[in-house]
Amino acid sequence: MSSFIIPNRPFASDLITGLMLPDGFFVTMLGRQNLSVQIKKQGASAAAAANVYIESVSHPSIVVYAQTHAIAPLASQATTTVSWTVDISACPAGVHLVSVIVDEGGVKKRLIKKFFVLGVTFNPSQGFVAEMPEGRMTVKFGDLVKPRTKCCGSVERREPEYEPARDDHSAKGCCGTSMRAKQNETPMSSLAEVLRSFRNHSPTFRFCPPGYLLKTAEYAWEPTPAYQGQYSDLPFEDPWWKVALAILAFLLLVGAAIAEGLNGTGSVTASVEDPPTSSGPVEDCCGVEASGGGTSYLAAGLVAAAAAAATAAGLSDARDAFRVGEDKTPPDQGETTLLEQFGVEFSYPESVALGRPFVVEADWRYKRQTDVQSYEHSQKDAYSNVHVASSYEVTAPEVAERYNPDKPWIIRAKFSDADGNVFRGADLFVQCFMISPSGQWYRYVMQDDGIWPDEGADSGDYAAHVDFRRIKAETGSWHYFVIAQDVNTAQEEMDPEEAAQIIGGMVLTHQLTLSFTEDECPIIPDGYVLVV
Amino acid sequence: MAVELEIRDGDPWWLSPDIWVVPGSDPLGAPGIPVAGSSAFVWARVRNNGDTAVTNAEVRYYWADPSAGFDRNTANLIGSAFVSLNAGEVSEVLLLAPWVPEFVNNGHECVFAEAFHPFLDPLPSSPAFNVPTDRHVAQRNLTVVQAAANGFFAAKITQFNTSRLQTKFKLTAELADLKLLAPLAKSLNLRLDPKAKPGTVERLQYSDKPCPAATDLKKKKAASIEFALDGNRKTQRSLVGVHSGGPSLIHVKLLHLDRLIGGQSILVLPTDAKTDTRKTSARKATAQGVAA
Repeated sequence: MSSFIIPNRPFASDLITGLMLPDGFFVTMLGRQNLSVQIKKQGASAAAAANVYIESVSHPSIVVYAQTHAIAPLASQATTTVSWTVDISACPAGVHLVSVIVDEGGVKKRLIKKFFVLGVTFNPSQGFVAEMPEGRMTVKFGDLVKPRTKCCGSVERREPEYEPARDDHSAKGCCGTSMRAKQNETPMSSLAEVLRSFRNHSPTFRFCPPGYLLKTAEYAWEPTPAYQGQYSDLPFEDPWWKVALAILAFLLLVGAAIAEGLNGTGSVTASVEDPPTSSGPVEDCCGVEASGGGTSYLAAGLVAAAAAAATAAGLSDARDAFRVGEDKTPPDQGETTLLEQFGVEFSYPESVALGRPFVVEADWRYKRQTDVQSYEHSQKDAYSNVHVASSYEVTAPEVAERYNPDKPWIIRAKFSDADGNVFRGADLFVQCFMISPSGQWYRYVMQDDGIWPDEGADSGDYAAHVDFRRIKAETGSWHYFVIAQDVNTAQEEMDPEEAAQIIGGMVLTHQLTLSFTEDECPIIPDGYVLVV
Repeated sequence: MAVELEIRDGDPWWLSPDIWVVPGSDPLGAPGIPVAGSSAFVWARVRNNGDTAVTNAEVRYYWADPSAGFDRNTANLIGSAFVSLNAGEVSEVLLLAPWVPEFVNNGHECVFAEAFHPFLDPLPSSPAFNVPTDRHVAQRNLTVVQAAANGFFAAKITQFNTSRLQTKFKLTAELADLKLLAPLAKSLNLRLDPKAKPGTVERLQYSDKPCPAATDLKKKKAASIEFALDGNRKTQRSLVGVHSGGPSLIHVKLLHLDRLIGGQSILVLPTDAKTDTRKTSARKATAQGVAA
């Protein structure tokens, strides 16, 4: 009998952008999202064909849209990715379990893995509130780096319904400086409504967020329970606090882009009291030009991914700045830490380029409040993005014949890390996004599992077959994007501080660069195919 | 071409061998008796007796006060799981959502499980469980009590009238052969010595007192009572007696117009009995195990 394992933590991807959420976290505010699981064949012998389904999950409020996947025989050490749609709107925050059954010829193997659910709500006085088993994080976003010229690509610029935070700052007109809302602006609680009301990808959707990158943010961490000693427990006993910040930034930007595209307000933003403000002018970046429809959803995802990557980079993968703050403020013996606060202002000395080692500067301050006194520390750091692909290569035919079964259209890609080593199998979550001439959006998971169309399991060659006949594809020139994200490979037996240094869900491919010297930042497809 | 899902009944029907509980925090641990206030995981063994495979059949798990006579409206849903089965295949299905037995009736278990497919093998439309006639659903309604040093024991029994009209019921209690527990012994994790002399029960009767004691026992009271219950109401009483010797099994039966409509069983253990003494091997050979 074959032996199967799930080598990495199951991860979430949102239905709007199709991308894995930062570090694979599930977020209640999104409601429905995809739960993806990598299944690996252990042992020397190949497996037989198998069926895979979710048996159950550890909380009755998690709605699983039941589906049984048929997978072809897996070669030894091959990994394949399968996904289900789940709805976690009503799920309490915390660590949950999923039981997956691999049925190989009537012999069932049960695989149980944990996954993380972040409970997110919005409170006008506190901002975002993220609930975790170890405590509660309240986050306020302040200034965003925004596009220099037009707010909305080629769309006629609308007068934004907000007011500048201060009188003497940077951009006039367009998008202003702070994200403070006017009284008639859509309240932040509608971010959940915007995200959850999403049903289909509209071919006429326009990409139009009011900001791209975080400039200022602050959060308070209220540990549960309050603790004695120097260090708080890590959220979920695994990731750094900055992962939650990156997730919220991702949600904010996706939601803002959707809201702006839907009704032109763009103002799914923080009507919070006392948002953190910049110490100086906020430098604008280039504006992303997206052609509309599917490309716009992709643009929204890539910009949000860039914000998440930049946030994670600025606060360091090796040791979170918040933890460094705890390092520098040891309380006296017997003191109980009640609250910890963190504020940061980011600077971008270089273009923020997905998949490249761009530098982010963080000017941050940390404050520890105990039952006796408070302690503070601040410092400036500069870190490089470590989620890098030194190169990647995409190959696919230039012409696709819809009704010729002898010429299936197969797309392949290879990716190398910063040292030139090839990524393989479960290292990555790779997807191909096909955009039709009319803006329709299709998503395909590319696999390195040795199952057709892939030619070799764990070879580093990720492949997918796009059946244009099956989707009744329109003829004409399609373009495609191959987006690879790294997967959190931390093992369950790792020490939490060790596991926290491994963060997944970051985009490694190079389709988007946010430049501060250009007016336009193009989204570059990986190729075109003429469908006939 | 049909799908016929079944969770087997027991003998009597409310002692299904295909429903069991794993107490503790590890769903793959050894089965046993759940503890009030502590988490436990419910399992069911589902079979497809039809000639057609089924994918994504749903298995629902409920708990209820140990009683006779309740339906889907009065039972409490613990959660749902899914199973795919070939024709003729049998599979054990785990509900990963933990169940924390409440302190109702000292946490004694009464668990239902039902397996169905909404299109290929749907449930009947009635809210009633109809365990003895419906192959989809099975029940384990077993209460384990330990006698006091003087042999006195008490087990609370709850009766629901699921009808909207006042109904007359008859409640009986009788000793049963301990061998009927053999199919369940492994999942109860009880050491039942087949050579041990069966126990005896004297002065078996019902008491309406909320906290009956040995001094409340009547010498000539019968273990059979008749009563009327208003529609959609419930009532509670205790089955009491004096136990001696080895374990004893008592069947409590609820009848309406001489027709058996519900039941539960009570296993009375002597005061010095140890539970959970046998370590049943956990299901580690077929599963990766729970994440730390």
